[in-house]
Formats: sequence, C-alpha cells, structure tokens
Amino acid sequence: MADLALRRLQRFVQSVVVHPGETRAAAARAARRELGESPETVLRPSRTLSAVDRIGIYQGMYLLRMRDALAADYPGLAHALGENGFVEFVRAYVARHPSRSYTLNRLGDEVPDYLARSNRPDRRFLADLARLELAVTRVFDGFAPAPAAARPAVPGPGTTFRAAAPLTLLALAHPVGPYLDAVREGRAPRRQRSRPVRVLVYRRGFAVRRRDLSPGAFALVAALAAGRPLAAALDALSIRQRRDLPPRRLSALFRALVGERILVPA
Amino acid sequence: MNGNRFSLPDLGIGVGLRTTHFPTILRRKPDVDWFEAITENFLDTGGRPLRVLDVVAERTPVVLHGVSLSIGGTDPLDRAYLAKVKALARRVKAVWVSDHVCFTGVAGRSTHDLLPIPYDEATLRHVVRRIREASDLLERPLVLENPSSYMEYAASSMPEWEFLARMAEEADCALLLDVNNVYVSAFNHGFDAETYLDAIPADRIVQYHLAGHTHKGDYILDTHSDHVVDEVWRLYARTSERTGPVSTLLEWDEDIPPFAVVRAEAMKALAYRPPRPASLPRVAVG
Repeated sequence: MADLALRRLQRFVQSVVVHPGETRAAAARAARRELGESPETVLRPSRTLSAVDRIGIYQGMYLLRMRDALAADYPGLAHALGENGFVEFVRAYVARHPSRSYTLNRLGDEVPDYLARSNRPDRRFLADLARLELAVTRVFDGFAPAPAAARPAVPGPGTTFRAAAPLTLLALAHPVGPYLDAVREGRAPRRQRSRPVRVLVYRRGFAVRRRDLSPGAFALVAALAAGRPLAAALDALSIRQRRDLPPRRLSALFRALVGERILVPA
Repeated sequence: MNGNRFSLPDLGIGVGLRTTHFPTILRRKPDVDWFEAITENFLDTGGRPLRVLDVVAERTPVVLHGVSLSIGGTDPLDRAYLAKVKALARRVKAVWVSDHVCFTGVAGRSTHDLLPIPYDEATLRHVVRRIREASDLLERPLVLENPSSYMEYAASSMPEWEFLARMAEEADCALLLDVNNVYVSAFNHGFDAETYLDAIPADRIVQYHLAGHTHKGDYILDTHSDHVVDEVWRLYARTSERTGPVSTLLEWDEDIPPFAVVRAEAMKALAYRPPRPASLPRVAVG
C-alpha cells in the first residue's frame, strides 16, 4: 500500500473511531469519502463480528478513553455534570477540541473556555470550577524554577521575589474551592452563590495547595510574582487594596509567603 | 538459545510503574528486578511523577515504553517528541526504549489508541523507513511491540507474524513480544498463536509482555485488568524455550490491585521460563 493509499486508509479509520455518532453510517460515509469504497471491502469480518462491528470496538473505546482522561483532570466538573452529562460533555468537547498532542495531559486545556462559551445556564460556575481544576493540574505538573544563586539576608524595598515552585493566581466569580474539596473528600458538594474570589494555587514539595487571598494580597502577590521590587509592588496598590492590607495583615501575608516558600528573594 | 543480537540484558521479572503504587514503591524498595514506565506520563511533568521515576531509576533498572510514536503513521515523525523521549531516556538511564507497531492518528490528530496497520509490502517499506529514522533520532535501536487488534484490513497480504519478522530484519530493530496480545489477536482474527510465536526471530526478542484480558464473548479485549490466563502462561513457556530467559514484564492497568498482588502475578513467570544461567549476574544500575 503506497503512502498515499495508506494515508487515506488511516483517515478512514480515524474518521470512524472519533465519530461521535452511529458506527455504521459513519463508516459508510468515511469509506466512501476517503476510499471510494464500502467498509466491507476495506475491512474483513471475523467469525463472529462484521467489519463495522470490529471498527466499532475502537470507536467505543475512544470515547471511554477521552472520558477517563478528562475525568482524571476534572473530577469536580465530572461530579457537577453527573455521569451521563459528563459523557455527553466529553463527546461534544472532543469533537470540537480533539487531541493534537502525544500526551493526554493537554486534552483538557480548552475546557474552561469551552464551558464559558457554552449556552448552559450554569456555565459561569462550571467554567470557574474548570479553571481551578486546570490550575491544579498545571501546578502539579509544572517545573520548579532553578534555585537562585544568592539571596539577600534581609529583604529590603528593592528586593525582588520569584516563585520557588509553580504557582497560579486565579480571579473567579464563584467560590468553587470548597465544592472541589467536597468532591475529593467524598462529601456532598454544595454550589455556593456567586461572589468574587481570588485564589493562589501553589505547590509545596509535590503537594498542590490553595489559599484564598484578599484583593490587596492578590494584587501584591501578582506583582511580586511578576518580578516587581517589593517597594514598587506596594506602591502600585490602589488605595482600596492598601486598606485591605494593613501592616498586621501584610506581615502575616509575608510570613506565609516566605514561610511556605511560595515566594523567595530572587 | 540464549541472548539476543543486541546484547541487551535479561533484566529478570519486572512490573509496570503505576501511579497507584507510588507510595508503596517509595516506602520500601520492592523486590522486583526492574520497572517499565509509560514514557508519555513523564515527558511533560516537573512534579511528583518525575521525582518518583528518578528515585526508582536510582535503585532499579528502568525501561521506557511509549504509546505515541505512531511508527506506522503517515504524518511526519514528531521530532520534538522524540527529542524529549531521548532526553528522558538519558535522565533515567533507560536500558531501552520501546513502542508499538501501529498508528495512533493522522492529519495532526491523536486518537491515543494503538490502531492496526495493513500488513503489505508497501506498508512494510514505510514502517522500516520510519524505524530507521526514529532509531537515528533516538541514537539507540528501537524496540517494537506487536499490538493486540480487533480488526483486519482486506489489503493485508501477509500475516502479522511475517510482517513483524521481516520488519525486524529489514529495519534491524528489536522486538517486545506481548504474549497476551498474540493470544488476544489469535482469538479475534482466528489464527494459530503457536504459528505466530514460532515465526518470530528469537534473537530479536529482548522483552516479553504478559497481561490479563477481558473475554467479551465475540471477541477479547486487551484490558490489562486481570490475572494472566493459563493459556498465555503456556504460550509464554513455549516461546521462552526458544529464546531462553528474556526480560519479562507484567502489565496491569485497570482495576489495579495492591502492588503485592501485581508483583506475585509477575513472579509466576519464573516458573514458566528457563532459569537464568548462574554465570549471569543481575543487572546493576548506574
């Protein structure tokens, strides 16, 4: 089979395997389009299965594989949608965003945006939940920056900081963290009313952790993580954000950031 | 017969490195000869999985087993992917790197399945060309595994065992012979498993895979979800007589039981393969 013919054959197989609908019609259409033939002239039957039944085995496994991969990264979303709802979501999502990578770890990258663009009435909650879950996955897999060569003994106004381990800052419209915690701990999760929350997702050792931040703390951590010097980061806070970070809170925040090695002097 | 033409060692009996067993493996050094890691699970992570693999590789021989090379595919080989595989293999001192005789997708898409290819002359030439290219990029001989499959192409002009044997000779690659896959495909396609095993050149087999499967009545699904069936053990014993003791690995990927159960299942292989010559020591790491 010459390369072009092999490529057409592979396009036929893939078309059927990833098709979200009924196998027989999908196989007939794909065989006609790619090869100008019928599935029965391309594939052999077995003693017990027709040609279409046989390629249908691969088609059935494809959806299950995609479901399992997305459920591993999005357990909260899977719970929120329910078993059947999640399968239908996966079917539609992978039709729109099929894997183009050698790894399934990237399959769910578009889930938050896909949900946000959907017309579901609860799309904002689901998209926020997915954003948090994607952040957890990315922080879990992220590469820690190389350690700095030397650090100032006492941080001063000109000190810059860097993340000691992967971290992500999220501004969400729903407090989805407790929902995800409940799912993971096997408790009945409860959707809370919409209210803005700011979340720091970071890694300590190899464990992913989460910390809710006030608006001022969020702005300060974002500026420091972006490499702004301490004094400049504090100066850049708005009046409201500064009110949000009185000296006692600021001191507590720094103790936490440095103590947990979330940010270290660069 | 003993030994293979690549001088790759008999690592003994190993098991697949799976996330669910990480705590057990880290807590105490399990008594297995070697581990096989799924390559793609460790390529893009700087977190715990890679740390665990590093720790394991420091004390036990490791082999990398890929599922995304798509050696039978018609898209160009993914050079960036191969560069990452090569770097990971160096990092963990992988004894060898393997993948499957299949295609995984086309036109830039990946199905993440091991889809069968037709067994004919032109496809053979195509695959041989790509094996050479991949081996050059990896700077090591490639080890390729026979897939399990559920469908056959009308275009195939030779049996799978002939394709594999010729592919290995013409591309000068090594083979990972999955005995369970032979059993599964023999049932699904109605061929004789012993004919298959006897046709594979013994001096190119550097590894065996064993696993359980799920019988669905009309066909067998290669699920890696159960104990190895007696008939697969018998086939393993038969082919081991030809090859001598060859690195053997048990795969268990669904409904994974505790590590002790997986290890015990793997160790059954000792009863079915010829003993390792006393003059051959265990492979050391480093």
